[in-house]
Amino acid sequence: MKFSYQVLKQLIPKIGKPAEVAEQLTMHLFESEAVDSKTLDIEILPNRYSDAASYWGLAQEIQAISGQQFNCPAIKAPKSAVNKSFEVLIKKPKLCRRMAAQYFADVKIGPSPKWLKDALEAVGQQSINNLVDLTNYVTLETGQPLHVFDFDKLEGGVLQVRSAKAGEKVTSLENKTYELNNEDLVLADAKNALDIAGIKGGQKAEIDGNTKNILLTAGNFDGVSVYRTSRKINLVTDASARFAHHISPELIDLGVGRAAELIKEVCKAKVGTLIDVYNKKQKPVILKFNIDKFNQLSGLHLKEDQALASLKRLGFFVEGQQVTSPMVRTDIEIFEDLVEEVTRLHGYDNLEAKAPHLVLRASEHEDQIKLKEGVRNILTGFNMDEVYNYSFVPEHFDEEAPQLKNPISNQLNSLRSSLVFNLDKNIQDNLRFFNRVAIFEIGKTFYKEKKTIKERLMLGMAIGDAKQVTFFELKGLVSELLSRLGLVDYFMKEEKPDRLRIESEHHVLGYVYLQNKGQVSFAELDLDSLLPLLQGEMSYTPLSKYPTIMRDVSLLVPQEIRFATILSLIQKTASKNLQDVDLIDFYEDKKFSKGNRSLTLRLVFLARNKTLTDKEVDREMNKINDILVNELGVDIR
Amino acid sequence: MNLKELKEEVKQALEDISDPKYLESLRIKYLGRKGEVTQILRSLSKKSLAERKKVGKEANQLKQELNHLFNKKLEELKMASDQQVGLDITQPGARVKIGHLHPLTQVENQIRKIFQDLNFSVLEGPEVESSHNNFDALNIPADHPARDMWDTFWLKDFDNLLLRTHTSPMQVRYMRENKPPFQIIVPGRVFRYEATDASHEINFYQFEGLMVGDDVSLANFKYIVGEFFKRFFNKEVKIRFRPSYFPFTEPSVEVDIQIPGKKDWLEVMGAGLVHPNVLKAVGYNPKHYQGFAFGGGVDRLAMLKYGIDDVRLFYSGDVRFVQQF
Repeated sequence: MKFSYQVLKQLIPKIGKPAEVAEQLTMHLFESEAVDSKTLDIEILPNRYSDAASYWGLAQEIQAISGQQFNCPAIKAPKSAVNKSFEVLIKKPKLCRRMAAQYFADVKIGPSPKWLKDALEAVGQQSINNLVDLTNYVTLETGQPLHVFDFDKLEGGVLQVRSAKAGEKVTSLENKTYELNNEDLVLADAKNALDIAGIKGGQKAEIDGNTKNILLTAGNFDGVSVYRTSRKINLVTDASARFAHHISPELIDLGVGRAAELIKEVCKAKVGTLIDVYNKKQKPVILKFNIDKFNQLSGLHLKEDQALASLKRLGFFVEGQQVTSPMVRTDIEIFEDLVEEVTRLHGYDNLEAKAPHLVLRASEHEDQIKLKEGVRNILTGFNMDEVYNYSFVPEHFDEEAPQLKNPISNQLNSLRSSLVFNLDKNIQDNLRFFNRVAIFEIGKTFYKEKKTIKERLMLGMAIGDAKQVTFFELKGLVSELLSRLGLVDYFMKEEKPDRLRIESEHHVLGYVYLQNKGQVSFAELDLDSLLPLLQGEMSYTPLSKYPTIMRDVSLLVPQEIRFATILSLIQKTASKNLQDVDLIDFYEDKKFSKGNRSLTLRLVFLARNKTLTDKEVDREMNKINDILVNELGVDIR
Repeated sequence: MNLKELKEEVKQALEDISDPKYLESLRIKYLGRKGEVTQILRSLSKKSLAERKKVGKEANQLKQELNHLFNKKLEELKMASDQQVGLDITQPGARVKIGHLHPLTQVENQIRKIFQDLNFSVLEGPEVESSHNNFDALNIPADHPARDMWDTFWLKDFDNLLLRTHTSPMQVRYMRENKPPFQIIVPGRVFRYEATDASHEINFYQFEGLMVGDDVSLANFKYIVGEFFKRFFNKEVKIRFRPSYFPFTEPSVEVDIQIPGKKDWLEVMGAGLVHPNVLKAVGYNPKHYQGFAFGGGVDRLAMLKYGIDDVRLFYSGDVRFVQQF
């Protein structure tokens, strides 16, 4: 919010230069900036609109911070000289705590004097006429929004605060029409709504060139109600922002008193009857100040009188340890609020860092975090790069996935139920720059379950290559990852021709699958399900004293026979001396009859208790070969 | 020439040689099929048995010795030539093929490590939250402009669910289940409904800190946060607090840092003493417990640390970016 430096200087003659003031405010009150020599931009915090979004409020603070004298103009509310009969009615006392209206006769509307124009221009407001400018200026001075009506346009001499009727319309000064309903509050005369209460003035009883007599009004409207209406009709004004932040009803005294004085002086008006309906008077907040508790919370070592002196400078009334907050300080509710006041005024720079005393207990990392770290270390070791993607995907990716009520775009209107959608995109994007891309991501995925949304911690892996099949590489990486993580017992089952399902102890842990003939392949693992299955500990098997014997065998395999079948048959047939079976070569050739392929397997034999002879191994190989030929119809090449 | 003389002759000849080609011709000269040692051995057939035995043994021994000498010389010459024309050891080393951790992971790892060294425990929480945990229990009133500080993504068909706008709901979750004293750190992904630009993203990472005990003060927080930044930037970073407002802390402060050699103060954290209303909401008696809470942006720290000027790069999936770290 912008404020004129000149206006502040009139209130505090010894005030520092704009940059100094901005620095003082930043360190003790709000983040502030000197825009130029005339204007300060001050970011009012949401809990301080009631007292500090005004020149007088800021001057009070600057005085407290800097010690420079603030000459607060005493309000000399002029005596009523004209009696006028009219009514002020509050039909919705819960939504309007207080409403004041004052009559003025013979108002001379014309251009504003220079001081008034300057003050408004410094904060970017255009001068309209002396009367409107004054109400805007007094709002800035005091923090109380004000509005003036042309009294002679009011029907029935009544100003009432009531709910809008369903479909009732108010056309603003800018000629925009807003349709309201009974949740919204309006100011009305006997017949029509005149303005949207606390938000915007209407055309109905607008000031114009012929206006002679006016009604100055100041209300205190319920913050929640103003906030809701303002959001609903999508109209935020200076007044609506102030009311939405729950300002004090006591501000009306300042606003109306000060405006009356200036309207009399600047517009040469005759001051008339004031009606003030104040239903639920604001009670002062009285708190006991406990210096020990203060020092314990802040870590400062102040004496009681030091702390209380700070509060006095801020306008608090102090009597012994009893502290009464100024009525406009609606943010002060509890003792801790006083702790903040004293500490910020004393200065956070004067707070010394102090190491906490604590009972030493071993600190811990959640298991999930340790698992993520382990996975990341293993996968980067496998030459995979880590990526992060949005949690959002387009709805068409998975129509069952949870959706957003207010998405940022159609392409990002669903929560991801899998990491693969974005990884696929990453692979395509990156293949423009690389021949091979190997990436992984760890992140939450989302799914609906009954009446709520559940999350799963997933690992997604993807490898894309411009030329080669990557599927087997990825499959191998997944196996090695699982074994390094300590998953002992699992298997990969062919669920579909292009998809393997990874299972362990009746849990589906994830999938490995391929696209584009295997040049792009993906794996996705459910880390939440994996976590409890990990055994972690490795164990040692004594090294054999005897040599291993290797045998290679090339098979011509018909299309329908899967490697998994061959492997399990070999393992079933062989003795326990068969240590390992490796696929060392694979190719397809047009010379072979349709769909046949050649597989070369390497079988490794080892006995625990003796050196195997060639003869023994040959016997074993013959047995295996026979079974393969007889049961699966493969050819030994 | 006797065998002894022959041996000396060969030794001498070998010493003078520096080219492997000559070495080979020298070998043929002495040890080839028509070589001198071979000649001697052949000539033995004409000698008496006793002489054959004596000279034959000596000649064979000589042959072996000479073979050994030739081989040794050949090795020497090879090594010398390797050193002359062989490897250019100034060529670059072989490239190690290793993957790269995302910079946000690296920064988060570092944050976790530092806080673990300061005896904080680390845990995480859900990304879909109830509006109760995200707002109400944190003393953020409904229908109040204060709530506008957190632009929120809401979930369709689930009235009270949202994507958490900060990691602070974990304060509520943790305190409901645990009794003080404790100190925890909670890193995690959070969401904001806002237009993206170089410094705003719709999802990003925060880390939440919470320390509660009998007498944990704002001065204690100043120590912890000072230690953190000193270690994080590995420099004597200057810290300052400024007044601020968060509904769930009282007093509330912004934490600014000034990195040595830089002029500007950078806003890096929001913090404060846990608001008594929050302590009450989780079932603590504010008369018995007090503590501080703070929240910082992982993305922001990563940007400062690595000089990254656009937050959107983190979520681009661009491997060229990740491979720089």
